[in-house]
Amino acid sequence: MTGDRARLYLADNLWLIAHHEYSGKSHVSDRALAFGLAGSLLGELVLHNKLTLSPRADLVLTTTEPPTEGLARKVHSLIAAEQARPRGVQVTQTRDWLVYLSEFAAGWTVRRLVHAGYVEKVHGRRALGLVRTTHHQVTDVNHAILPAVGIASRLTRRQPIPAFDVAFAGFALVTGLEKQLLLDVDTGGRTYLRRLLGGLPKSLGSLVAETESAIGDAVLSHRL
Amino acid sequence: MSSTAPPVAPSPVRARLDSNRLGPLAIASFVLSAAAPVTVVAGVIPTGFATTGILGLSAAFLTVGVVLAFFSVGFSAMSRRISNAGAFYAYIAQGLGRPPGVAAALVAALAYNLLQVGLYGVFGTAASALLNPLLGVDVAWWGWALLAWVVVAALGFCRVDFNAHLLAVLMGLEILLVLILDAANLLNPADGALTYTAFAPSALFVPGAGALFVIAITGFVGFENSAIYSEEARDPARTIPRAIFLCLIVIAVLYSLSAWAMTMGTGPGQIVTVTARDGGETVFNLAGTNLGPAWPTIGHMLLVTSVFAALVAYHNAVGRYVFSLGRERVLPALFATTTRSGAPRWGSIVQSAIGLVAIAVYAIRDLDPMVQLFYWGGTTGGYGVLLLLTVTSAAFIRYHLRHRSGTTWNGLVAPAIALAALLVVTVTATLNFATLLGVPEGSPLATVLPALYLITTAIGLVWAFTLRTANPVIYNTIGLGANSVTGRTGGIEDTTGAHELRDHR
Repeated sequence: MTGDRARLYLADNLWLIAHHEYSGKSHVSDRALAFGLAGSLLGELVLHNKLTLSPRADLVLTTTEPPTEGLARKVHSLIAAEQARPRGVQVTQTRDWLVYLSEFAAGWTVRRLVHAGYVEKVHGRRALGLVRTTHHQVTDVNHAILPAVGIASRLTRRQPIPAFDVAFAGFALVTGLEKQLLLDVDTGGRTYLRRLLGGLPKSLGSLVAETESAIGDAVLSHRL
Repeated sequence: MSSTAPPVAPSPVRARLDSNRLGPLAIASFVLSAAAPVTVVAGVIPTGFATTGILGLSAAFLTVGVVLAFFSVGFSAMSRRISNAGAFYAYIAQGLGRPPGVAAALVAALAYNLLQVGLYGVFGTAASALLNPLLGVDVAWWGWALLAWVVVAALGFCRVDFNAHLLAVLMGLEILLVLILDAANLLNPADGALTYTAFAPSALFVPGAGALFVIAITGFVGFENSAIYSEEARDPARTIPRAIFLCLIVIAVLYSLSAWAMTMGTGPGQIVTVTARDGGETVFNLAGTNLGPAWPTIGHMLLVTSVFAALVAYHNAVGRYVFSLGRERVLPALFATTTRSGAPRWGSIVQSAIGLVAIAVYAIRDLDPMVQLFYWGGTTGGYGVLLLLTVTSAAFIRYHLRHRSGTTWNGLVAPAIALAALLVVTVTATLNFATLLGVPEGSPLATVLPALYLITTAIGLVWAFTLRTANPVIYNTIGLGANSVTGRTGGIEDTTGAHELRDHR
């Protein structure tokens, strides 16, 4: 466990930045985070060149060869199984997949983080010791803030940023984590980020947008 | 036996998505829970009789129900094509153009705010009638209203939604109570026998009848919220229309029955004098006479809970509306932010501020909470919704002609019938506004209140044209709702050469 960020994935980074590094409490609503993580999981597949979005916002697998990483492989196989069904019955719309995955995304992501040793389950007590609670906590506080710090400094210096980080920034913003992501970034840096987001490859850009729209609609309906 | 393809195993993804989906009954109960039946029956209807002096309210409810049924044909067809929980203004923006769309958005924000704020008046009145004698205190209406305001502001900001089942139970109790009171009135007619003149169409052809239509529309407001659930409906093409028509039927029948029963209870000749004298207590006095002393208390309790539920529902509706405008950048992006609990932060705050100002003004100037805050506010809000319905019908037609979407029936004929009827209603309502408010003809109030909408429309049009020149990208996504986001960022050219993809395994 070297704290090597290169080992972390979009969803993992999002989970880490979304939770307070000491208390483990989430900065955003569960539903928003669930959608953000779902979008990130799909984003990981896009980055691995396994998935694209059609112009009509359908998810399309580009290859039946699954990714090597466990959780990405799980998501890939779910989509593959669905796409093996007859045309009329398939679920292909990005929004539908976001809704479906949002139910499991948080649990799966936490499990991956625990497995990799970045997060641990912590037991505690509440209400004067009468209620036993569990929550998840980073094992090393640096893991939580490293993703954002790296991006923030590069934005401030207007340095080039790889697509992986831009995508992560996109998901973080639409999930409502702007404050956590952009720390002390100045207005110029924020404008630079917006330009970078506009330059994301089509599938990634659409995926971020679909996630934002799903989160927005969840606010509007009473089902949040 | 004919051989066909092997049975397709159900998709677990589809099954999961469908299990969370809503059927028509669930949607209808969500929608009706904001309709607050007891508030309309105990608050709007008696005040309507007293201020307009016209009997034909029952006929008006039925007529408006039929008109809205024609409207809903086009409405449910459009809700499938345009998914936007912001409803009316999205249809207007895509049907008639963006400037009218922006104007409609502001008109809707004004109308829903008036409806919400007016409820503080009836809450204060009802709460003081119930709780002052119970607690042995003498708190003014605005004291109770402020208390409600604090709770509503907190609930709205903390995104505490009432449990849907709780709401459905409450609403069921309200409808039950209303039916019991109606039965009591019908079984004890003051004149000894039932008469049906309140239902006669001729009751609508009297001077000032336009006012009745506005009152009736106020009772129906909220049915349009069913479109919000189209994304989650089990089978949107069928579920949404069914939910809408279920709501319309329940509302139309319940209110026209109640208005008629009230005239039977007091006698048609006395309804105006009795309601003028007793105001919101009319219904409860009748209940006390017909059923016994426990019933007024039951009625007051349900009235207070009914109004409170409606206060929260409309507060959230305004918050959501403002949020969706912020999401489309019609309002600054600031309004699209949410709190930690997922509430539209600034939408909620702004609405709470408006409510507080209204209560303060009415309290300081010692104005009547029941007639001048609740009734005037509610009916002026209802008038705003009437305007929106009319323009939206026109938008349905224009959209159909432009895009050739939907059938001739749901795209052209039904909306055209609705448009014609709604135009008649709008014109008569505007001409009869003084009757609606119960003020003398020529009173400035009868011109100022409708004119608020004219001013709002003008502001909206100016704002739209400002947006068009200042920010064309945002301007082009107005009315797209959820797709405004994808509309903004979709279509960006793939810049494969420009990014670095690091191997991060």
